[in-house]
Amino acid sequence: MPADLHELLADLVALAPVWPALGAVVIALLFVRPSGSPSERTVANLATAAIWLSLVSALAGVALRLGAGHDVDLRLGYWYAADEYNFPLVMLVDGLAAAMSTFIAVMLLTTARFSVTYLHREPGFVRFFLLMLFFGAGMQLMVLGGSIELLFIGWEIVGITSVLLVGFFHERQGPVQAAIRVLVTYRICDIGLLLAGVRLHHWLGTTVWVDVFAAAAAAPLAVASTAVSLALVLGAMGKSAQFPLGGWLPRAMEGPTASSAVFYGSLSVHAGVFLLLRAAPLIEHAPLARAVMIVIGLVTAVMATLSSQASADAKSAVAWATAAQVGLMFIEVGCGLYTLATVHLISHATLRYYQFLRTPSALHDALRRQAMLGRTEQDEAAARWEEVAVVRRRWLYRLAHERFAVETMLDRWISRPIMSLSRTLGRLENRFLALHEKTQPPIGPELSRPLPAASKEVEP
Amino acid sequence: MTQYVQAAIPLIWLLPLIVALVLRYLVHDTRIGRTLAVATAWVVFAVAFALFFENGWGDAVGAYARDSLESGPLLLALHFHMAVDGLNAVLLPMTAAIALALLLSIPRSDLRGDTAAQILAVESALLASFLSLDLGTLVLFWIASLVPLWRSVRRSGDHPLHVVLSLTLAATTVALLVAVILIARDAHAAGVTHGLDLVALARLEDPGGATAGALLLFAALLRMGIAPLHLWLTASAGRAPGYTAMLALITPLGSFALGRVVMPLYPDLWAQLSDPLVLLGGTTALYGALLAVGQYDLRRVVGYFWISQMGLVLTGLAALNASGVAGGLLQSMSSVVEVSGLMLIALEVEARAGTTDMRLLGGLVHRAPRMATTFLLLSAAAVGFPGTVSFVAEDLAVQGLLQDHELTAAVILVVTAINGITLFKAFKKTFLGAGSHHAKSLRAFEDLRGMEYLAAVALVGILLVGGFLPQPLLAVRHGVVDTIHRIDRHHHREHDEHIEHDDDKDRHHRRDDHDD
Repeated sequence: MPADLHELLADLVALAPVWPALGAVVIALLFVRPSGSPSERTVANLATAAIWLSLVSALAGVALRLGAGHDVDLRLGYWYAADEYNFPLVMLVDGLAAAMSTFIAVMLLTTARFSVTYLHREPGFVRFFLLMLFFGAGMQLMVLGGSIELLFIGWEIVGITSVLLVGFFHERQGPVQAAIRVLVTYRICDIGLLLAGVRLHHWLGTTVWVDVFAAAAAAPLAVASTAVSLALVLGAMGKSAQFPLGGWLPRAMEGPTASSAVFYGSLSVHAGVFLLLRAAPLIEHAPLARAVMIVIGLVTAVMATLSSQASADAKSAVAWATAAQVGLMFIEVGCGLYTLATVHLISHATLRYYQFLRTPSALHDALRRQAMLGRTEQDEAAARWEEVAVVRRRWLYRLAHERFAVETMLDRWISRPIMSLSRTLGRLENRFLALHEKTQPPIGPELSRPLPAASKEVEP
Repeated sequence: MTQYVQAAIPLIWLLPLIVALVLRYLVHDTRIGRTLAVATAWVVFAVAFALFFENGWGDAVGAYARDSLESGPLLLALHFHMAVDGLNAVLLPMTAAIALALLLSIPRSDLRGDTAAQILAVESALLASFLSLDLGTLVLFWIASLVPLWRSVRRSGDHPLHVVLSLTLAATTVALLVAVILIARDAHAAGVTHGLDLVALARLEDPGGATAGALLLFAALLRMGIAPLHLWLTASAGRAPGYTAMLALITPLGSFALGRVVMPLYPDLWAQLSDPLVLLGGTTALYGALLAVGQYDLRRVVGYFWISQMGLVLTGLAALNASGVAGGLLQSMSSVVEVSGLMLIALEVEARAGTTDMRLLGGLVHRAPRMATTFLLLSAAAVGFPGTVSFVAEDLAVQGLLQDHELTAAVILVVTAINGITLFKAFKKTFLGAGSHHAKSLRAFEDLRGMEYLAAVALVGILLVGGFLPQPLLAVRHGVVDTIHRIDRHHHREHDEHIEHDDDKDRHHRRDDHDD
């Protein structure tokens, strides 16, 4: 490939995350201007143009990779530098990144087209496109980023936009609570990714993927690579809704259908699998982490499949089925079947995307299927349950219906004790302060004010 | 030093002090008082920003590399030495900007009495503390920065808080004065002309001994609100008259004092206490995060979040390497902007809704979308979202901690996760959802008005610009990098001496064994 063309393609691919981010910033600036919110047409045109440009950049990545004939490591400089530490700006264009980048741009383009009609005259029209563009920028940065730090930045952008879209209909309590649950899961699992990053830096002195893979292959250290790989698996578990952290996925369906499709059917939920595929050369040196991955994937696949069968609404059923398939991808990566996992990821993401977009018409589709075939998927599922012995069926069905009580246990053993400890310590501080009270009984500021009129407003 | 800088240094702290006195004793009209206070704050901000621009902008490598250590005029009996350098250049416009935002946001009803005068007095004391290169004046203004808060709490009739603040003020005063006396005695014995000049004192070996160092360290940790010395700060954040308290509470004065006084004057002490201080910082960060997540009151959430951030700052500074210290200093600066912004919104909610109890709020986003968006953006910035200053700061601090304190680095990551949950929960409870009966009954809940909105946009803008272009801000480390290297050298020298001593003993033992 001529050097000029190589340079041009390299410049273009570096812009893949920039276009959606730029589109989002322009829309945000139009949104906050004093003259009022921009029209739907303006927002849609801007968003579509930004995603088209991102697609062109992604295709440039494909051309760059094919033209070079090998993985391309683009070093763009440093974001900032301290005496002993620099933040590198680097991109890695390999087969996985080029394919994922193009796939993301295509999915976003489809979503933009769908949402223009679907969200027409919705109050949150501009907000949706703003968040979708930021999400696109995050996804592109995540897949093309050549270091774990850049991947983390993309990961965080994807996380916060997901949370805000789950809580899109914020006037209702349900979506807001669901958004909190998603955020809590993401934040906990982000610790894994951060730990992996800092451990890598400490161990190898770099977080640039190419250098990490080279250094890990040259001097594989079982303990270090196992620690990093386990941390990466923790990070992947949260984003990909794996056991025991998958309870957020069906709740995340509170957002608009288009966001459910692109986030939880198609792109965001597969981010964990992408992370594992990206770090595969490192994880290969950690058999324990691979075993953990396989076990987690297997448990998730079984439990999510059963939960899907026992789900009462279409979106939840598809959500659990998605988690089950992602569990299988964990097993594939754990077994070293990377090509299969990549193909599985893209094909599954496409299928689920379509299924989620069709969920508002689920009843209509089911009736048509029944009219044509004389049966539906629900009938088939019921028939499969009938094959299980009655006692075992009841027991299993109840467990599946209760989502195997995983969330209840997490609440009871982790969430509540932490909140209880927090409030106990707060009360102790208030009492200590109240020792100096002259006449009043010891009370804290929150209790000195009038309590809510309706007791149901007070959280337990 | 240019003439402009010589004139600007006394101006930026004297002007607010004089105007505060004028407002307190001469002006009784609220409208005139407000106009005068805001105009003063604008002038101070402009001059402080120009000082920052004059001293630090441009070449990031050369910026702040040389501290401008010119003496100012002598005032009364005190040796008067103030300068702009790498450690304080950013703090000056930042403090001035927060004071300005506070004065622009304050409702007219809260301007009755001498609130504006108190804000200007605190601003003056903080700016003078940051500028002082003389320990006497630094201590004087350090103590003075707490007095307006103490007075307003006394007048509010909150007896428990008044007792706690009195104890804090007394402990700060006693610790600092004893330390100053011990240092002055040693400096006099060593023949130093200006016995409290920090530049001269830096040439002495542990002036005042370890006792003076420990007292100064104690006062700085108390000012930062490091657990278990935090109660005055979190209680004030929740209960004190908000507009007066904010500037006095949410300030990097404590961490600044560590960088300005304790670390350069007592490198041995700092090196010896490095591990316990990292542990203390990590514990405070976790404790603050844990307490914040369970609070119902928005102001208390912000208060505990602040001490959690101060814990993080302490771990970075105590990590004893350039990355950690740069991260700690940057975090102390960015936290001030973020937490001030969050507290400002909490106060604005309180002014409109009459409460900051989140159980009585909710659903405010419809009425105040600008306020909600600003809160969300500030929250994201406060927990180190990529593209903001805190991301860079936390990244550097964790990288610094990793070199010797891996466990604390892991704790800091957990703390960041908890803080993210806390602030988003606060956002949800205050602004999202159906809203409580109380919130629904609020007919006049206004969104951010013109100047309030301007202040909010400016705060968010600072964080975003600083996040995307952090290199000029990182130049602040040049002001203290020599100190760190000095501490490092002391540490290594001591370590080598210790090893040599052990080797000598081993050799003696071996010779004795051989003789036997």
